[in-house]
Amino acid sequence: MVSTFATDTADEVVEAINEQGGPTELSIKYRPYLHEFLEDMSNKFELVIYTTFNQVYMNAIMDCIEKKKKYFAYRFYDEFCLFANISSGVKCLDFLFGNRTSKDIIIVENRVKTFPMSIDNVVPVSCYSEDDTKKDAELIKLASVLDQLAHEKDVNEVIKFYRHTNSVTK
Amino acid sequence: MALEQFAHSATFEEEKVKEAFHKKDEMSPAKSSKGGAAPTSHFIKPSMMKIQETLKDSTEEYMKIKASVNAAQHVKDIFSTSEYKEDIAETKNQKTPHSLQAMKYKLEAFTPEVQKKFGKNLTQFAGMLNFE
Repeated sequence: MVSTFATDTADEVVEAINEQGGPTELSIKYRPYLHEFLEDMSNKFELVIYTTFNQVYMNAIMDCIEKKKKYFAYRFYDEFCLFANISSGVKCLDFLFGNRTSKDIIIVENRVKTFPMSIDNVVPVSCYSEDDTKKDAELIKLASVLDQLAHEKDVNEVIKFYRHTNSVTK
Repeated sequence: MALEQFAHSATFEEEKVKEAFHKKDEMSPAKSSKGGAAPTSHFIKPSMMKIQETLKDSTEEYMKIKASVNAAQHVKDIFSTSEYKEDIAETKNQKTPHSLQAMKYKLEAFTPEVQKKFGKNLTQFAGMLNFE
């Protein structure tokens, strides 16, 4: 049984727009079905946010989404990422998840390369960009995949299979 | 609390994590997951966040659509995008995996001396290493 899944905050679940004229004011737009998705998934997984954004920015977004940590058990931000001579942060599961084992962790991430040591934990998801002509249903589709993974004993093996079966890069 | 102790602790508590990672005094400019600078977040408060109106969702609608989703097809779709393939290729081709692996071992072997020297600050310590 899978115990945990981690997701990045901004790109997958909301679209943050830096408004002109107000240096700090941001407006956010929830991805369609965000709260239904989080309600559904929080009943099946332990949810963790792990983002390369800094703590203040992350908390501002997360406090809009859930005021009393209704869905997410933990929030990790840039200080839990490794930054060096890499254009963006690298996230490491090993240091953060204590006694949780890799086979029980699913990462929902739009950029698999931010987890170079854990690619077989990553379920890719597209970024949210509002399309007025069609309501985005990506989170619902994602939920159906996560539902299946929830019953797997080793998500690494399943994701590796998905990757090898569907990707030309083997 | 030492990092290796935390890594092997039976439970996971946020306060212990903060303690283990030594919180910075000042916020450093973060980079967004897209590689650019994050918005000027130092002064952002929840009250400054405006939530834009979107089409109303409903649990009923959510469940109805979910029941109609072909999960196998979606798996095929998301694991065969060009972005995913490029990322996997980049991950495999980049020079960093060995360095990252080496760093992982070094971090796992965090000694009290190293922690003292680098103030338990993982980011700072990682930044001292030559990745490439």
